Amino acid sequence: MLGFQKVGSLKKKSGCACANNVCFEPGMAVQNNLSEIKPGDVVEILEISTPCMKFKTRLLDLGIRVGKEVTLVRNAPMGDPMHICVGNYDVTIRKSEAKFIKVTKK
Amino acid sequence: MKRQISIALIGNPNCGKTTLFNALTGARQHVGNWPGVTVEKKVGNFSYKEFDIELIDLPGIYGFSTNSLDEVVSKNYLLEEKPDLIINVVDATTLEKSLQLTTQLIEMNQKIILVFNMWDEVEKRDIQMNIPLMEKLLAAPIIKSVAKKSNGKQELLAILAGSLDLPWKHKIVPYDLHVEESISKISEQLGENYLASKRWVSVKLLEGDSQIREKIAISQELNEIVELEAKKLKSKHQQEVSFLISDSRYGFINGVLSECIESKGLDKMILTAVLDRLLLNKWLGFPLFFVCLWLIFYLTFTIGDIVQNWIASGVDILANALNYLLPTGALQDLLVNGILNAVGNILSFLPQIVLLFLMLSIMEDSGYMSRVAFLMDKLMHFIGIHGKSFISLFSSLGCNVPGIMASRIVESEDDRKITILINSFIPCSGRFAIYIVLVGLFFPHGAYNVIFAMYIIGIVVAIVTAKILKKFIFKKNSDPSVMELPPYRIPTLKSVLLHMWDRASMFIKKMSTVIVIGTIIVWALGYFPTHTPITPQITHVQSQISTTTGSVQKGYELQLQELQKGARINNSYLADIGHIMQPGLEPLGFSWREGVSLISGFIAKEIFISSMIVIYGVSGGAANLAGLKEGLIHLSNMDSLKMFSLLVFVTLYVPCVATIAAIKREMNSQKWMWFSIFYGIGIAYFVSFVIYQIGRLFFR
Repeated sequence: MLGFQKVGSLKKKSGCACANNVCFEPGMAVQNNLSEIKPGDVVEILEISTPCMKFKTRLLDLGIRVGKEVTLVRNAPMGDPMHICVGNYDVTIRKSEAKFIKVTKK
Repeated sequence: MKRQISIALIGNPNCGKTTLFNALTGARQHVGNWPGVTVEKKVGNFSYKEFDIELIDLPGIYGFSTNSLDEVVSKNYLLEEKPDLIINVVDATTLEKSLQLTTQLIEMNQKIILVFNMWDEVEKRDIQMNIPLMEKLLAAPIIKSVAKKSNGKQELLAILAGSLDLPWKHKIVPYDLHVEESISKISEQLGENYLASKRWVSVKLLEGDSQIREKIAISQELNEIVELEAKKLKSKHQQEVSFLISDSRYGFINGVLSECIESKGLDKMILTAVLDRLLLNKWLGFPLFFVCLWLIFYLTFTIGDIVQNWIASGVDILANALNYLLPTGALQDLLVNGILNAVGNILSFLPQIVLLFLMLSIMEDSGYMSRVAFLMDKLMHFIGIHGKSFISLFSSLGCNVPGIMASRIVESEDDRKITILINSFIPCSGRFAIYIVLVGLFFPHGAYNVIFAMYIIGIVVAIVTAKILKKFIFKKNSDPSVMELPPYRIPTLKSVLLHMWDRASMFIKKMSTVIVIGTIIVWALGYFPTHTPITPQITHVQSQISTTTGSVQKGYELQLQELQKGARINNSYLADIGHIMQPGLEPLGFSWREGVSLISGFIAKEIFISSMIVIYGVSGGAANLAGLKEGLIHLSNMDSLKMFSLLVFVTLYVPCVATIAAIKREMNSQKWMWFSIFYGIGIAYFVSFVIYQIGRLFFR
């Protein structure tokens, strides 16, 4: 609904009766998928949860690993793929592949 | 007698490796394929002091997994050919990423020299590095280089010569404690004389590298130990072993960099970011790309045309000379219409190839090609191929041969193969020439629509074929789309020219044989049997020749030649084949004469028209289009629907012999060459059949 995914260990604010399941204690990480972020967003990679070894190896080869900070520079004119900046070099990635990468906004 | 040395050049894609290769070997390089695959093998030679050096340019890779063919081929080469030394070219502005491969080379216990390329950018960004300390920590000499200016070349050569006989210091990259324990356990079990060090082999086995497992013929006992250790590590760390190891390497590199990088300097080159804002702009990106495409088209058609005309004139002059010098007969005809024709054909492709690769080299070396892939990826992915494939397919609009050769820029092997196989359905300028002539005759109104329809049909068949190939033959998942966008760099003239030269010479060396053989076969079928039948027309004209003089006689002599040519072809084996094909062609709406022309069109699509003219006995040659139309209607009952069906067949059936040669060469396989031929004929038959039969129901 707000595009967030609840991280398993989040606790609901005590006393909160809302049914949305989006209330959380301050300071907890909010997770998005890399495919959901907007141009200009700076995010840190939390987890790479793809079942495909080939894909994960390629990501690691290109320095896209847990703890790394990346920025979405732009989406291609047709909407896909994404142009992201990884430190001091740039990489393109399809949204269908980016959705396996969990990130948090900085 | 000089010492023979072999050296491998390794690095990430876009690190400037090829520029260094060119700087060292100049034009003394040749390109082939690694056996059995479409991965290119580039070998060059040069001499230095007392050494004769063979330099192998391995494909750009990120590591030594079994994931991509490039990596497998490189790993094989290093393990089996055991080069004397490795030059690892590294983009010095992105060391954290670039040193990943270096670390793996260190682990393989290879003798390496590191070339920190793009050093000019390091200086511009004001990045400060403690090189001597890094040399110590990586246990390898480091050379600062700007390959495109050949800076660092002499230093490299000197160090190279010095290193060849030095014993090598080995460096261990330490892993996690648990991993190290597993490695020890496995190493104990390994015998001597394995491919590389025991440590490296143990690591590869733990990672589950199937290639290594096969190579060392692992015993059942050892296999069980490896699997046990791998399971232990996986459950302890919740990760696959290869990723654990990757983390350790990453830690090692960061350790080295934190000690040796004194100042990080600017993050990026401003120019690249600014240019990208323009070229990848949501609104301007595509229009600017179309301008680029238009430029490619325009150059190859205008300049290409001019040069082709020179070549055609030259061939004509030679043909006339041969006709004059040699007595009429089989030899003369073979030389002029067979061999010279083939040679002219081959040469006529050169301007297109050279010009196209000029544009392609500039696009690739500057970094713009990656942007093209970025723009076109969504559409190409829908079809089942890669963004870069678009350039290859677009080039085929001019000529399929450079289009297919251009598929080389696609990195993934499977995507490349699919691109090559669907290329021939894109109508080339040869087919366009046919459309122009025939469409005008039978579709006086709406000629443009018919031509447009042909292009649409070709493109649709290409897309459908891609989907079929993807679904049934190239089933495994695509290579990941994650790709680097290198900074924009100015291409060097030398690199661009070498690339053009390299493609052109490869075309001549590798593809001419097929073209010459194909042409001679078709020629022979059309020439023999040699006895020219006498027709009443010929007798009449012959009598006129004997009773006239001067220019009137000349006119009759020319007419006689045409009649004899027509009679000959009507009597040839080619015509026999055509007659045999007739029952098969009727359901499509055409006759044996079209069959003959279609076979002749195999040599080059343009020849289809000249063949039709000869076989319909049209006097006055290509200028007499009305005569052609008359002949078609009179002798074959041709009408608009049949013509449409014929044009569709021409669009889709077998590509011309030069294209076949290109497919064979780029796929590195005869099997796929035959597939192209038979699939093309099959599809053309099917579509023409459907169009003609359904058309008959509606229009009769």
